[in-house]
Amino acid sequence: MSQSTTASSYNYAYLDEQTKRMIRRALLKAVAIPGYQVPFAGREMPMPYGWGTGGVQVTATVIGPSDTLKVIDQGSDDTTNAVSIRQFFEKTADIDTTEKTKDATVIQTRHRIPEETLTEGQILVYQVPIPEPLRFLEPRETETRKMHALEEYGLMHVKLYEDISRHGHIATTYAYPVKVNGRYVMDPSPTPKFDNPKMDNCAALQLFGAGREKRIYAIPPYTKVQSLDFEDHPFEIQSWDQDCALCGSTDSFLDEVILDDKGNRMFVCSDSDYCQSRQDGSMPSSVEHTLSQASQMQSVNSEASK
Amino acid sequence: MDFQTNSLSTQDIGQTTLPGFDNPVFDATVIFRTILDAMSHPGTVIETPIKCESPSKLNSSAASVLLALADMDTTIWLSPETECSNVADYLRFHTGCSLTKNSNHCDFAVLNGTEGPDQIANLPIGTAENPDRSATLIIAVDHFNAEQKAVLSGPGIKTTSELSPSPLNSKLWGWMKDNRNYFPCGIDVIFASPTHICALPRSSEMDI
Repeated sequence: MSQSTTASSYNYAYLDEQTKRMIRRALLKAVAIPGYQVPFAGREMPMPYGWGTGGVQVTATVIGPSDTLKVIDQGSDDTTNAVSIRQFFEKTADIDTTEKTKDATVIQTRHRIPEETLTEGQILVYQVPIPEPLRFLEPRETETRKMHALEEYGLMHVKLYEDISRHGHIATTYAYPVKVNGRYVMDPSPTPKFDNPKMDNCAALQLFGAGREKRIYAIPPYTKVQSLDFEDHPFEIQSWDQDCALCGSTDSFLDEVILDDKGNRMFVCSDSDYCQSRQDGSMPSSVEHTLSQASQMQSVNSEASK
Repeated sequence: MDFQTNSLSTQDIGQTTLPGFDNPVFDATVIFRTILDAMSHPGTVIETPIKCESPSKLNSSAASVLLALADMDTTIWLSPETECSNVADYLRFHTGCSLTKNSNHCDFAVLNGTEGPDQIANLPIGTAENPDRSATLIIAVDHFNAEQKAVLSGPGIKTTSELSPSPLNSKLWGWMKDNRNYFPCGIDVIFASPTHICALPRSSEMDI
């Protein structure tokens, strides 16, 4: 593949080679120290901060012409952020893209982990707005750095405890703090806590990029990722009373969709590829699916359309 | 970063007749992906996808790792066994890196597997607050079929994996075991045979 086939005024995958080397060195350190935030010289990207500049820089540094890229935003391949980042790499890296989780070698994500189990060799790149889990508890970087160095995470447990004393349960539902390999407390980015168990012992490599805050961190494959909790208030994930109105899934993360101004609503999978492949009947073998659910889906579907 | 003067002058850009990567952009990418794969699967021996001509004291894999990761922002330290004008000129010409005689001020260190741990006792291991400010050590070996094996476990390893670089100075095993005790500080090691690489990040537990 020659560079002339890509947007000719830029280097392959937009970033210059020296920037890529700098990010590559940071990524290797991040993998070697799971959960530790490695500072890097984040570049300005042709998109505003908050739109995934960190994730884009990590993806641009990692991908090559033989990769297949999938980009999701809140689980969906069709939202503005996902579409524009996918087009960005089609244009600058001349790369194949896909919406199928299992066909992708690199998946860039904003705020979700795909429902389908990730496999060895895949790389999941997270867009991270605020990488420091302790930032809202301690605004000074010098202090949070010291707290990580000393493994002083009492403050985070106090925060979770205050949740319990105020609400009766841990009310944190996204960006739920995790401890990586028993050492660093890490912000899993604003993914729902529903996705936290998927990070634990995951076969894929997970890379996190925060562009504005200029931090990179990582979870190597098969690494212990533990959501913080208390013995008498164990970590729990969200659950719903309803199944997905489109595919009947009982075990995926559901979005609430308002249908009209009379209080009607439906719940659908946030992972658009997972939902679509279930509707097509080509869902992944790793996912259990029963005929009863399929017929249930028909009835819910027709009710929803009434 | 400390800028130190040393006998391997940084003004000299180096001259070599050996070519670097055929395609600097894509070759560096596939080599980086190989290193990333190795670093995220400690102990797994992975074939180096590109062969590059290199000076005799630096094998092809070790050379390609440095060509992919080193540049004018990095300082390389060469061990007594690997230091020679051919290697220095090759690295300076292709990467623009600076070379240092002070092993305590380097980003990358190159060692031959036959050398002892005394040479690398002073490599930077980072600090408790900035454990990333540490050196990455590249150890040149011949193959990965040694009699002596270490069993690895930890992040990146599903159950266990084996590390068996050869030839390896027997004292280096002890050094590697000690290295784990400094976590999160420590040195990340990339073993490079002429055709394969294998990584030992500081996070791996080791049983000999």
